[in-house]
Amino acid sequence: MKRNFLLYCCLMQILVACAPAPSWQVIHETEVTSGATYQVVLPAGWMRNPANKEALFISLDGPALQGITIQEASHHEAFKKIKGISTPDILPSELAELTLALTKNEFAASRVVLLKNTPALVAGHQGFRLHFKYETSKGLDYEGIITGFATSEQVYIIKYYGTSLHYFPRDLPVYEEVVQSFQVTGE
Amino acid sequence: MRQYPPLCRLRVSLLVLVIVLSACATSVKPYNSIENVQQTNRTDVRLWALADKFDEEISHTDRIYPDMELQAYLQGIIDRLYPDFLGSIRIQVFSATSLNAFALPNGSIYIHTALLARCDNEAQVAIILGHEAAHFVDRHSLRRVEHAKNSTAFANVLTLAGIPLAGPLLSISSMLGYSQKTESTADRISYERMILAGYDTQESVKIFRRLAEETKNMGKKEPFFFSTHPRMVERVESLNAMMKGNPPPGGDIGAETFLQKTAVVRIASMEEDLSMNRYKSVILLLGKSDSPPGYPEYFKYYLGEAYRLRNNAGDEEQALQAYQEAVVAAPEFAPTYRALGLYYLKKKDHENARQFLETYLQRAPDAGDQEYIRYYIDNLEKGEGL
Repeated sequence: MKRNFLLYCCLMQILVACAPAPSWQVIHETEVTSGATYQVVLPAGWMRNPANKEALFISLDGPALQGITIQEASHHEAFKKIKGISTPDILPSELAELTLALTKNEFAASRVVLLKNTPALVAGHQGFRLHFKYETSKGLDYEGIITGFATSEQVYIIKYYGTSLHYFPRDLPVYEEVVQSFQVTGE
Repeated sequence: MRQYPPLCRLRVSLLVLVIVLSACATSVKPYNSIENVQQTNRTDVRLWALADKFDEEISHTDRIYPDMELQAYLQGIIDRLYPDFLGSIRIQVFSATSLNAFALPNGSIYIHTALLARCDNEAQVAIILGHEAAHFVDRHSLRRVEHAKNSTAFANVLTLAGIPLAGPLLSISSMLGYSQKTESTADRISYERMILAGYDTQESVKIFRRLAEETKNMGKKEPFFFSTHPRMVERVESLNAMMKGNPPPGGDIGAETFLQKTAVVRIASMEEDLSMNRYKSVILLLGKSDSPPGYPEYFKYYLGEAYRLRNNAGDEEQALQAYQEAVVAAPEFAPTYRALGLYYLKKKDHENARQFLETYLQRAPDAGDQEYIRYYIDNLEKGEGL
């Protein structure tokens, strides 16, 4: 009996290990998705990566070519990676400053060049809009836009990137629609 | 006479053979002068090709700091240290916030802007450049590769001969970059070159002490430049011992020219640190002195920014004090007014906030963040604050 139980446990372990990672899910029709504290309309035809638990990530042609990420985090957690401190009274320009620092940190191997940093109204909240570019170690140029804002509880970041050639300009309107549709729930 | 079994005799013979062969193979000779700077075997040719490729690729990125005058000045320091290798050792300034410098096997040397910004004078940068050039002249890359190859071969046979633990131990040590002994050799060569070039060697200890202190205070692992070097404290002791055995005759420090040539890179490096939220290094650099050498009179503005970003208890007050001192020291420097305006905006002191933000825009009408400032001023005029 005990031996059978051990065999069963081993078998279960093997089966769990063999289980495929969750695959990309196609968004067939324009879809309203909810995060813990937000709601957003996702574009039809794009794909969502359910493996990404920290943020909502979607792409049309694959993460190497373009992607949109939506992140929500508490003030305490939002900039932990760079030991940055966000507070409920943070100014939009200060939030942009921390977000840029975080982005530079994420792309440490590349050189992030800021093209424009302006205030922006997102979901009725005063926030920021960063436009930047970077080059990978293999020489591929990317451009990105980050829109973000803070409420008294949370920090919201909506990020878009794509290869400078073709993908970034082509899918920028889609990103703008996603940003337009973004709403904080429970306010 | 005692007779050993045949297998044992074979093992001993193999061991002797490998020791002899590895001793022959590791005899990499240093370059004595520019005449014998050449690739001596296939490994060397490969190393040079890789280094050339790295140089080529890096030249197409924006990582090379675009200041030809500074580069020429640093090249002059290298040439003064190594006059017998004129044209063989080339220096480039690499835009990066880590405290690093490195040499390639083809004679290219890269020094990071952050490390350059930590030096106070020419003699201090000379010990660093001299050290890196020593890796090239003493051919440490080739030695390491040859040593790794031979160590593995040697270890395999030692395992055969019945000494199994030596293999992994030797393999690991050869994988950990330059050994402590190699780094000490580079320090010694650099120190001797400094004396010959007429630099004040006391400065070498000063810069190493400063870097050791920064390493300690940053509360993290040693910076990359030193991660494979003997620990900084040991290096300071080692340099002190060299000075005792070979008393320095004094010499050039070269502070004035150095500070002038590196003034822009010093500020750029600090701004880059702040833009990455690396406030600790800025507080460490500027927090101790009322007139740190090589920094402009408005340096307190950067100190205030570092306190603001750190945002610990009492940092708001420290930031305000630093901004106020910066305004007094350099009233024409616009960013301090913005910092003060934003400080008062958060404190809901709308009158002061508006006044300082307007002063900022008057002094810097083309500022990159003017849209934010105008938005804040508009809100203040509407009586909305934020």
